[in-house]
Amino acid sequence: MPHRHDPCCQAVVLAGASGSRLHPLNSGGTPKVLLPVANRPLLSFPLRTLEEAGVAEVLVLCEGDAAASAVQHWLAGYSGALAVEAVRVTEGSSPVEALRGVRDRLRAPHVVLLSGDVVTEVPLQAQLLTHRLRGAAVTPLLARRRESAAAETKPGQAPKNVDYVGLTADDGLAFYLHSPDRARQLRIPQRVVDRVPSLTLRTDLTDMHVYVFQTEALRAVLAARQDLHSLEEGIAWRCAAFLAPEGAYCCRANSLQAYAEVNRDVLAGAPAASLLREAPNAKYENFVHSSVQMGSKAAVGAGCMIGEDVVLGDKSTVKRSVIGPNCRIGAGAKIINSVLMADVTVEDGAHVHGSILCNRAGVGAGASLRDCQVSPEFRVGEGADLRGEVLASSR
Amino acid sequence: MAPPSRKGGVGLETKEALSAIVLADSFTQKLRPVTLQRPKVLLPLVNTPMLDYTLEWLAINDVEEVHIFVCAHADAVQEHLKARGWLASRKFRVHVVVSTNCLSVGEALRVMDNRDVVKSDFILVAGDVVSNMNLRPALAAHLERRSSDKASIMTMVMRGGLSPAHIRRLGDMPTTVVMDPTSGRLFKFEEREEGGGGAEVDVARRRRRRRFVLDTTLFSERDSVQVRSDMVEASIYICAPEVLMLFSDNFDYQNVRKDFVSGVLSEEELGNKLFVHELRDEYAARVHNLRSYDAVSRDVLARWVYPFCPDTNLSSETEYQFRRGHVYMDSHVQLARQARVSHDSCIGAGSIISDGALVEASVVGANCVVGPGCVLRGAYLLDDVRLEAGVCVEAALLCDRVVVREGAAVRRGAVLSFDVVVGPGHELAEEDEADDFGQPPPSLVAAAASLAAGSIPETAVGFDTDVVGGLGAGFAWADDKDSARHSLFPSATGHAAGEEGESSDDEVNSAAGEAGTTDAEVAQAVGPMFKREVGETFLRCVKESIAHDNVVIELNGLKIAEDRTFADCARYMLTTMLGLCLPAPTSCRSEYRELYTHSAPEAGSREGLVELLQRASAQVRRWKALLQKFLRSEDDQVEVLLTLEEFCSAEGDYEATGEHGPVFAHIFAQLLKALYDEDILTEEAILQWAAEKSLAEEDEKVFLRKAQPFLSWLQDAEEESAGSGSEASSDGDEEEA
Repeated sequence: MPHRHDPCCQAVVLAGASGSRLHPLNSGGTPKVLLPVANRPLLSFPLRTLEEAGVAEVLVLCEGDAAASAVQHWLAGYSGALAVEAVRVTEGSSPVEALRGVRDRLRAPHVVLLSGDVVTEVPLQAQLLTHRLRGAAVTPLLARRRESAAAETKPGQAPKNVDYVGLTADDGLAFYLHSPDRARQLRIPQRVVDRVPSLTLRTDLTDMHVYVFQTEALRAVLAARQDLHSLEEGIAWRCAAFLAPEGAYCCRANSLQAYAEVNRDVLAGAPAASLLREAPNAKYENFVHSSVQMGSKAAVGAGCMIGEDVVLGDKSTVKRSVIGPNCRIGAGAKIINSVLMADVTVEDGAHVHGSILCNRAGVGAGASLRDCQVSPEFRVGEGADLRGEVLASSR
Repeated sequence: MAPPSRKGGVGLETKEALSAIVLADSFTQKLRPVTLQRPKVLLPLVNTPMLDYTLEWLAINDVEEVHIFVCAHADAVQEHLKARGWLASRKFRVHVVVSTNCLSVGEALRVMDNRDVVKSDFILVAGDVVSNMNLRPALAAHLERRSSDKASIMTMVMRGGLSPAHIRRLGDMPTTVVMDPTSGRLFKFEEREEGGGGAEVDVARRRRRRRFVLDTTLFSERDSVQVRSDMVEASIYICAPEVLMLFSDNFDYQNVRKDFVSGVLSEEELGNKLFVHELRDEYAARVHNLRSYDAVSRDVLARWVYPFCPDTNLSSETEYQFRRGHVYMDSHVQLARQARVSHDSCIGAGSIISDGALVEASVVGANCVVGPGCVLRGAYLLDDVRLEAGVCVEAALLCDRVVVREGAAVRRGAVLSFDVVVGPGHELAEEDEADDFGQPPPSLVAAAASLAAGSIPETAVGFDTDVVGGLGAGFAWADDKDSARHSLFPSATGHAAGEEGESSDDEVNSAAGEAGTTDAEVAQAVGPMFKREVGETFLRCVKESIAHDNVVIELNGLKIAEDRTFADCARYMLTTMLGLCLPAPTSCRSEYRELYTHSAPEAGSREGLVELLQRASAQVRRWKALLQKFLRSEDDQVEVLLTLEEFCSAEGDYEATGEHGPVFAHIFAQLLKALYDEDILTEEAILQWAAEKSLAEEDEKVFLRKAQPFLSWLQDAEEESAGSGSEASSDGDEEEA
């Protein structure tokens, strides 16, 4: 698909640091944005979103030298249409501080700011158009929650961990509050109620951390509010909300669970399958690289991805899982609902269920893993039976 | 009044006749003095009595049975019903229920319940509602909800999509409605109070800080909730019979909006639900004051209430014709060649518009005479009004038989009640309050009648010639506080003209006295009473050394009974305990006098002040736990600070109470520090108070200046422990943005 180049728009990707919420996946030093999703770095998803919207120039803000150089290294092999540059920012700096660092490099009239872990099918182009048509200072992307907050809350209780989003009748954003705990009362400034004739407060939306800013407005806020800690505080001015179209896939891989889910979702057919931009094998609805060596009676189910040079032993079974390049799966081993990164070895008869195995991890023969996360190079002993554990070498 | 037993409940399955209760009395006095002589529902609105609009509307909605509840002017209403043929109407059966001793809607509905005439779901509507809405969809939705859930007892009709300016134009209070966008279930209905007069600046400031609080448990059963401020309630209710029973059960319910709706919404555990039916394209409005009289008249002229337009000629007596520019003219009007009738006007049968007269955006009733060269702009003339040559009437209401003599002018906002005569050449000042007869003794009427006829009465009667001019007949009507907001012509200044009323005759004053006290007056009287009660409760607790917990229970009870806030309790408690440091005030009851000290520390000397501060701190320390229980939020604390200011300057509630507040003015800053040290006031609250005060007038900043040393000390401390005060400062930024 040819993409129209849009000189009016720059993008800033907040790549963050190692991703402490993804422990132990990050213990090998891989920055969060380079963790594989369907055998490609997570970062490639937001980059493609930007590319398809016609954004030309992208700054990837990485916290710390290690992350910056790793991302820079990966970008060296990047062949897309974007001019991408990794920028190092101080470790532990907030998004606002990080943005202040690159303030002078923002020249285009509009800036897209997005988190490096966003995997979405929602066309950014549409969000950009909404932003421009509305003449908004900022336009955030709001997506529907998968599970309704009301469904998760008992009647008479206050919902927990929700975003209260106040929309005007024409989809302007008038109020936003992230409420991690069960707050009994929602305190809306009276002037919001006075100014907005019909304010709809919704709990079925969540902020996807994809924003389009008017550069001027962003600069002004960064300059005026030295004490601004999060961008949410800044959402007090002209805001338009862009609601993700119903059914469009939208997810952030910002927790272990979400990471595993994203891996599954992008392979599992509708609605997220089109994200991969490649069609699965028509007969088995899976992605198996041509170099894979299949043992006899080895079975690969639908919604699986098997990387280059993987060897599947005889009678091994793979279901709803991603297997990275150069993995070795022993005879009779079962891999279900799991993510295996590169060079993982699963020996004969081992069962891996709902787990994430990092690069070069190993599972001994006959071991059984369920809902575990295995850090890089960690070896699970033969015959071990583990459930819900984080396995990391005690280096 | 015991609730009547209803055996077998209400059968929705069997088809019952659709009935309506029409309240032909608004139980308010907003349109006085006009309503002293004619019931409001019979006042013509664009030359048709309001009650007829309501009844016609019920008729086109297939209502089969109408119970008209009449209280004041029962005879007049009955006569009207007979004259207009409503009693013999083939459209529906009309029952007139007369009960002349009711004072509120609540009482009227209790009477209706007692009579047990309504047995199925019914429509409750005020007799002054003008609407063209189609009731069927609303009714069908209501019945469907009722069949699935018996507790869906009422559907309120509201007009949505109105701008704040539009709402003000209708003379309504801005309301905030919280509802479910899909089902229309109502969760909260809040009328916003409006500050009057001088306190406006203060109110505006408070409003900026105010938050609209929403209970988040609403979101446990739905994903979205609407907060609407563009709705006006139309006083049309589709009710289940249970509504009447609820009125009987709760004998203190007076008003549907204020008492019933808020009562049902607050008693969630009873499970009764209210729903909103929103009107977008249809019209529904209530005429409840002069402002809405004007607005609704205009809407009728502009055909928003179609088919209820003058040219529909609902009554067979009229022959209105519709002309260009929303002009309606009866075929029996004598319009002189040189007279001009401009846009949005209606002229009734038998009226004469003379040469050179201009009628613009005005309604002229039947048999009026508009003299040569008169100018009418936004004027409402009822029947038989006589304007002599060169009269100018602007945005005023002139009732039946008013005579305005040659060259006189009636300016904006004036209301001339029945039989008033304005003397020649007299000019009724702009914004002059309504003048007319209060209930006049017969001789005055006779005098006015003869004046109107052109002869001078034999007996000299003392009319207010200041107001109506020489040879005029009429009195100033005592001003009502809300008049500026409700007047026919909205005033920009909010100026109230009550001075003339003061000097007027005794008769008028006594008539005003009969009119009873307004709500605002009652509220004002209640303020000091509540203060006194809190103070005395506290003193009793000190005297009988009652445990803290019990004090809390007592004060809570008081708070709930009076519908006050925690801050209200705290503020009066604090000032009472400070008072204990000094000799008893004169207003104190003798039994509590012993609690006070006998010797006052000398306010002039430093030692005296130190002594006073020590006593105050001791009191505060002693009752700290109690105070903290009532200061739940920063906002509460700011309230207390504002009260402390009033106390120290002997203003507001503390004006002329004999309390020795001003003594504390000398140690205001130290007192703040003491309260801060005892954790009664937080740093944020004090800084917030200071930030608010810094915007005030210079002369209001006395205490801010007094507190300045303490404030700067606080700010220094804050900078050291950076961050904790960020909220207060960010609030400030938001306001600027």
